[in-house]
Amino acid sequence: MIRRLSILAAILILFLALSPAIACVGKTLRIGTLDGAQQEVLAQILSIIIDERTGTGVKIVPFDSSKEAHEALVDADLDMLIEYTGVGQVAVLGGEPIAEGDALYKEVKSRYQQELNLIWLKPFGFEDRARTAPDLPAEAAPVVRKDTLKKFPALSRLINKLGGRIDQATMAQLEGEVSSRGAKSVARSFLKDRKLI
Amino acid sequence: MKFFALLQCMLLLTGCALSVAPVASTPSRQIIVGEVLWSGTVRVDGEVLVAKGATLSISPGTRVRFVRRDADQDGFGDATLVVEGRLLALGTAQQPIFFQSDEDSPQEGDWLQIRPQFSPEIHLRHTVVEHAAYGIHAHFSRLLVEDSVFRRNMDGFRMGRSQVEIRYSLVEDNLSKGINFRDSDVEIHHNLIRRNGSGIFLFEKPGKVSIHNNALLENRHSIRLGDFFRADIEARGNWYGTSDSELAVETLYDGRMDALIGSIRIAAALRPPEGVGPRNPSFLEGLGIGIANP
Repeated sequence: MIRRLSILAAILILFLALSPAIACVGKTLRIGTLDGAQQEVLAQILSIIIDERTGTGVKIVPFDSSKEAHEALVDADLDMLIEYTGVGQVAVLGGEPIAEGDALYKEVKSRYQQELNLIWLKPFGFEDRARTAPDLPAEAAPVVRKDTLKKFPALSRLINKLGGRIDQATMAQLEGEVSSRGAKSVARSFLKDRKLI
Repeated sequence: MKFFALLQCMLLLTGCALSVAPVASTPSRQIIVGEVLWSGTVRVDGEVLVAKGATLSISPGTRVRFVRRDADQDGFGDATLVVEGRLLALGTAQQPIFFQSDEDSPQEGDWLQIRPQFSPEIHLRHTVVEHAAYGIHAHFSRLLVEDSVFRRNMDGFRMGRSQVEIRYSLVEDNLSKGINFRDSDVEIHHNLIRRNGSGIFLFEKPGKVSIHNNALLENRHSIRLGDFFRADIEARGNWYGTSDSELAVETLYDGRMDALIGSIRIAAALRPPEGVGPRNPSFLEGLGIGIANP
């Protein structure tokens, strides 16, 4: 019986080992997203620019809450998500609110890297104060696992091409178009118009 | 007995079932074992798996229609034909085989893909693959595609670590990439590749690549290296719509645009190659496609 169980265990391990290979030869990146037009279109922008310019497959994974998405990122069930500096500082790190935008970004970037092995890339260029308490800047930016960036060394350079490219007005316009055209179509048009793909 | 029952449960969980199931056109996940022949109209609603050791043959004139459902809300339909065994889709010029959307007004990404994985043989001849996210998305497989049309997909082909020959085919109007591959042994020849985002796209590693005697026309980039691609490749004897080599080079995307990626060396053909695209003219005529004077 023990021998049979050993054989079964070996077979299971073999197939589990092959599973990542089946998922696009271990080359599929997973982006977490929350409900809402803003997150949907930003996730699609990331997905399309990565897929178009690198050929790497991307899977968008929906989550019900920011907390669940963050935990999935820490647990390596995700490679990246879109986070807000205010949320990171207060809800994730448990830090004191910082009113000044650059200082806040530097603080969360530094602590995420040191404490969580997560890397904040360049902010997109807009704030969403509804995500945090009043008067706390909440810049949106991609947050990526450090080991993902080691596996894909050119990824940060690529994603940082989006840094500062989506200001407040642009974000509002993109969100407004999602309901009629769908996030994927809106994201593709945005990237093409700016010659990013 | 319990041992084998437990083993089967484990294999089912890992997507490698031993069980026998009926074939074809009802929703959910179905598994093909043994020798199976499809003909007429077959609807795939969900996933069909051609199990390891099984062979799915498809008769000339068959229409495989994939039902659009987007359960994971990623913007692409989910319907997929997974092939771990063999897939033999050998149509004729008069009776091609269609892999297509079941929608009345189809568009790119209505269905997900034909996904060979560890397949020893995929052979497509006189087939039309249209309105998928990724027409063929292969890993660790051997493929021969000839005299076929891949059109109006997101990517016509997407391949990793496979051995692939694509010849005498038409790859057109794929929104993102006509042929996209990494780390594969690939021979691409005598194809007409036109009006795609990128005609041919290489990402990360080249493998053994031979790209020759193709006509690459009106693509946003005829051949493009991905942002992760560091090697240099050669693609000689292709036609880029001009006998001027400098103009031909301008159709490429490589280290000339981005110093951190590799370079593509070409020696452009001086005149359009003869015999690109499907060899029997009646095949394309039946589809209403003209390819005269590439």
